[in-house]
Amino acid sequence: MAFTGESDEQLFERYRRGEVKAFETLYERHKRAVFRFACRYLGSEGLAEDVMQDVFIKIVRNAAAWEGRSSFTTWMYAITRNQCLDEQRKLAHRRHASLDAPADGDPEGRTLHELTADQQPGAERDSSAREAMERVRQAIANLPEEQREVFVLRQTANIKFKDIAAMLDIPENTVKSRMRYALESIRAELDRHGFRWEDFMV
Amino acid sequence: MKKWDADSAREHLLDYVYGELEDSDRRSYETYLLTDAALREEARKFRTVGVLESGGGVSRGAGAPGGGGEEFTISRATDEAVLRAAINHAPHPESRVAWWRLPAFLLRPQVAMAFVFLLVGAVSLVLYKSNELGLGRMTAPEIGPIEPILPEDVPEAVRDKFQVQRKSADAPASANKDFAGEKTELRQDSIAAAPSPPRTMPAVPPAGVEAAKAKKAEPEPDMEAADNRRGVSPGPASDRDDARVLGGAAATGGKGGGAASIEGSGGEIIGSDSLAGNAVLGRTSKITAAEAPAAAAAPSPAPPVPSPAAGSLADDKPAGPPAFALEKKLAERPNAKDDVLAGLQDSARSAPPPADKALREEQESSPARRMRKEAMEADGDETGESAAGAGSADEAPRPRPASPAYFEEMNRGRAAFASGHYEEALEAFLGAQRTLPPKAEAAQAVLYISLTQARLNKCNYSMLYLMKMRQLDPQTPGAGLAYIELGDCNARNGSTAAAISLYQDAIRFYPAQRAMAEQRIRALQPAPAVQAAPPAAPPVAAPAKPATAKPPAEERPPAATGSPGK
Repeated sequence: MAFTGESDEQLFERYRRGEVKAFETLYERHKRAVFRFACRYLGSEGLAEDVMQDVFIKIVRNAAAWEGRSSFTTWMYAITRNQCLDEQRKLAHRRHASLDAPADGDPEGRTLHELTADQQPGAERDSSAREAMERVRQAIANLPEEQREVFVLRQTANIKFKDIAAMLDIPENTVKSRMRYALESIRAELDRHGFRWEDFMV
Repeated sequence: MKKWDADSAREHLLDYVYGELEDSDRRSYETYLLTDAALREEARKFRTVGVLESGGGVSRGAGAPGGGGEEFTISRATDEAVLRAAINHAPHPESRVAWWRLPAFLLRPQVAMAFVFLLVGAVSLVLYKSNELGLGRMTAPEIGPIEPILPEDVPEAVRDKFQVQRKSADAPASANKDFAGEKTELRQDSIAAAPSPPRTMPAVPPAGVEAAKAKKAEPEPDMEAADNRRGVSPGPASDRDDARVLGGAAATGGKGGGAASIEGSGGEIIGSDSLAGNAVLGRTSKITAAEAPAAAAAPSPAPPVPSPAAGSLADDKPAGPPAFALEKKLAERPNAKDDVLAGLQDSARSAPPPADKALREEQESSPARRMRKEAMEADGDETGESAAGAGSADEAPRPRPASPAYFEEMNRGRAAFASGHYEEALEAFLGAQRTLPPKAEAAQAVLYISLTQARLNKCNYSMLYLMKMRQLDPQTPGAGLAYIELGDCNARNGSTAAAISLYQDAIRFYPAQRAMAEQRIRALQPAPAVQAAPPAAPPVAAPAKPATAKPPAEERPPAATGSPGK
């Protein structure tokens, strides 16, 4: 694909000059990350796809408003975060159960989708790893919103603490403390379920 | 290399985990971690959480939806929707550069119409300003012939003498190119050999000043009322004197009496008027109709000489269509004068022109005029005509008073004029004119502009404003002096014939300036040989003027110079 060697800012500047192909490159570069960010933030794959679509449409509509004061990535994730917040407000008013939300009554916190869909034969899957990731995901979902927000921004979107502080308009040390609390909560959650760290230590 | 302790290392643990430490700090931090097992363990767990979150520790295809290790799919419909939006909202390259769109913006009908309206407005404003200065209206075809205005009580003999003198003076002038503005060497030489005339306004005749002062000492209801109506505050007496200077000078007009005393005896005209500093002051000579042509051709013993300053200023003569039209008009004037004089003679013998007659009847019938006439006849006050002029002006309803700015500018201009700062005076008078004063006040401003232009040797502009003054109010006090001043200007510039013509116009239109004008004519036309003595010229002054009205000319103190008001 063309423009592979160019930065996000250069690609977006090209798009601002009318080169749609540059935006295609940008979209392919970031769509999964945005999708994953929304998944972590909302805990729902279906909502995350909608959010991702809305985020990129907002980007093209507001291309002229981008002033380059922050990096394109930071700007993009700021839009994504706002979009996720909007979706969360909508979820608060939703009455019916979501297939992606943790099912009520399920002690393991599995979703309705996981409970009702045909389970593929997963012999080859690493059940331990799957369990660990599921625990992590559950721990992330159970985090307070302000900690989850910081965790997703730093861990999933890979935005530096300084930029997160600017985005959320809070001190950088506050961002770090929230991140630390989030990590310790996840670690405690894994410890509570007897997670064997030595199997996954980096 | 940075030294780490337990607190700082714990504080920067996240920076280390997420790779936000600089390389040197990271190396020193890792060195420290070797000594702190608990912190090292915590860092490893945090990293593991991160790896688990991103699916790094999970085999491909496993993990939660959206996990880094999962090959999740985004629907093609979502991709198409995003890319379609990108295409639809793709900015056009030229839309970001505003000036690229400028021609198209200017070609829009609304913008073009607005531009046209602005252009028309600007042109209209310029034309309005030009008309305000009088330059737009004063074109030659619009000036028309100069209507002579003579007091009806001028004796018939005087009118006949004027006609003879004008014919004798106009005869060589009409045949001389000098009159058309083309200078001849002879005239220039004769002018250059003459003493320099004062670059000052002929002041008020002494008798007029004295009379004016005498009037000032007494209650003067008419003038006070006139001042009040004009917006002049009853300030110091000196200011009011300044404001009335020209009025006082013009007061010698109308009735033919006044300061410019003409005491004729056997054709002698003793000029001892207010021409202070003039070389011809007090000079006695005889002018006859026959000697006028010869006098015009002969070298003048004491004609006025342009001063160095005047010579330098003479180079500033304006050029252009108005000036050219004026010169053309001047060249045509001799014939016009003949016609006018012929008509004047006929009308004087029969009846005044209907318009003039009606005007005079109106003026005579006005109560203020009658009152002043009675007062003048009672005490022989020669300033009565000035008051009459003010009174007649007062009778006309004033639509609005002049603004204070007008009087401020006029006073400033008069002060500058008196001190010889003619450029500043001209600026002030033009400023006064721009205040759009009433007609009578506007005529005063225009008159002063004409005087100042004449002092600046800008004869054409002076003539333009003189004509405008006549259009506004021919009886403006001081109008006769403006003719004299303009004649001096022409004399300094070498246009002797034009100067003589203007002096004669002053005599014809403002007989009170007769003595002053004739002095100048004599200076320009010295009589080498007297062919015939003119008939005894009766004094222009009112016959009934008492002998005590003014002292003999020789006994009068020299008039002040520099300002018409001083």
